[in-house]
Amino acid sequence: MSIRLDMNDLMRVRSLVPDVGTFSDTLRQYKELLRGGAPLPYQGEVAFRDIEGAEKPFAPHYEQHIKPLVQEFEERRVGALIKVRSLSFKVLPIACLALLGVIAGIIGLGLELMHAGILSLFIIVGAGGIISIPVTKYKSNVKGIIFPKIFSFFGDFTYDQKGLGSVRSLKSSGIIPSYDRESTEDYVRGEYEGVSIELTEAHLEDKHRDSKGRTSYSTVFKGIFVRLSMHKNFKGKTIIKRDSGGIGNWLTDKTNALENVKLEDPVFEKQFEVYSSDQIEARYLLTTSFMERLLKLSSTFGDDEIAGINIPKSFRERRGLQASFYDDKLLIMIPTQKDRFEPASIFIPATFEAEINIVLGEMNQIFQIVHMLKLNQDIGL
Amino acid sequence: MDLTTLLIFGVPVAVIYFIYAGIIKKRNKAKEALSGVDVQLKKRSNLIPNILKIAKKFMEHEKDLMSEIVALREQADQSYDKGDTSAIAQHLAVSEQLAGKMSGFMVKVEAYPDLKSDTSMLQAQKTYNEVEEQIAAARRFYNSAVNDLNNAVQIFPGSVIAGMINISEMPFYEADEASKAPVDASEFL
Repeated sequence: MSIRLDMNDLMRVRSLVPDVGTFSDTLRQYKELLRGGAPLPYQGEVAFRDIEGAEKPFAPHYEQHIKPLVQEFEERRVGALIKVRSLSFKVLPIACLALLGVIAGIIGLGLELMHAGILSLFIIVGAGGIISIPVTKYKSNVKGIIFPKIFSFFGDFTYDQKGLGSVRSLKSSGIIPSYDRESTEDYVRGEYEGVSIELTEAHLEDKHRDSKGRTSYSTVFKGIFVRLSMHKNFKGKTIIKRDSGGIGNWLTDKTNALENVKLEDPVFEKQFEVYSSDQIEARYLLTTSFMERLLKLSSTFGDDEIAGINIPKSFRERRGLQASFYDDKLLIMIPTQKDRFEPASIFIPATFEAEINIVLGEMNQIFQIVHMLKLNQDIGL
Repeated sequence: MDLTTLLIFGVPVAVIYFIYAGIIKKRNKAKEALSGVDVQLKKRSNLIPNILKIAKKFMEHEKDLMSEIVALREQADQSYDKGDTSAIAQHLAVSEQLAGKMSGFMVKVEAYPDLKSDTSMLQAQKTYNEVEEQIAAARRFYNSAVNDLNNAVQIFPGSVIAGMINISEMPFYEADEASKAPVDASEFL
């Protein structure tokens, strides 16, 4: 049975994404594995979502491109779980002994509690890291081999788990915050209804140094960058930033090489500040109807249900959607704490049903951006 | 001169200067926006002869409308005094009348299947729509700049200073009365 998505109702998408394993689920299944429980092959029927308006269902694509790999990956998955069990039996006793040593150190040698805590944490994280090596390797194989085959369903879409490389290439958009450390993953590129789409997940962090010289990092942006082609031709740059209040906007005005653009829509003006190198071009791009669509997009993707986590409203307002029209493209920056395009739990049989449904659900959201902004229609609005 | 005297005379002079500078800046911004409108109107004006030329052989019965468009285009192309608000208002009104006539003309094109499917006409219509979008954007910028200027010259004490330096309100670029009225499609078909 397949599930049909309503293109105009993103709220439902989140609720339809299958549970890929909460922490407690994973822990329960891990305990089961240690007790000797064998990973069972999948007994049910494989089901996929349909993308509304899609010309073809996913099932034939699955039969042709993915099903031939299921047996091989199921063997890899079971092999990885067996390795996890074997590693657990070796690493866990050593880790327990080491933790007992730490306790003995506290009692016998007067080890400071803070040092003992750091040492314990190091032991736990280290043990966890070693035990999960086969899982990481298996998941990386799923992303490297299966995900590109899932993405090929959308036509000439390509997927690279490494990400864009560097966000610095987007710096000229004018909306990338300053950062010291970056990591990107999941780079998707393709064309949908005549609109070229590029997206990548990124995590940007700022470096801090305290009075004792200790270095720490804080997140300045975590989310996705979506770059889309436009039907309109433009030469300049127009950026849409979140309104940062009177003083914030004044400071941005003074430090920005672009000119502030005052638009007619009071709701849009309340949420966003627009800066452009060309006042007329900014209005050519941001028509009243486009402003309305951008507001709708912002409210949809700013929603904590969609983002997958419970973000406080004040944080969302500060860190909400931003966009830039530059180099003939529209770049949208969507903050979210949720990791997109992730393989399902290793405890789920390797039919890739969950992965496929995740990708179809995620891509459906991206396609909705195209539909919401009507980038696929050359209507001049 | 002690500090009190300096404050008594200096502060009002500074306030008057900033209001004066603000009005001049807003007037210049409105003039810049008006130039932006004119650039786009000129693009439309350059496009109209091509459209009429393509349509001429198909739309023999629409000669009157085409003549009206030609006359309005000539009027709209005439130079005007950008310092004279009534001349600006007249220029914008004629441009808007031309837009109304062109809009009616484009609707009539639909009644001529051969013309409607002509590739040159299709391309011309596409370009015309693009130029109309640019005009709409330029109009929004102009109206926004005029709104800022008019507020500055109407609100006290700006009104007094504006009167002293002879800066007056500028007209908005508004849709003409004809285009505000509901469209009766049967008139064009």
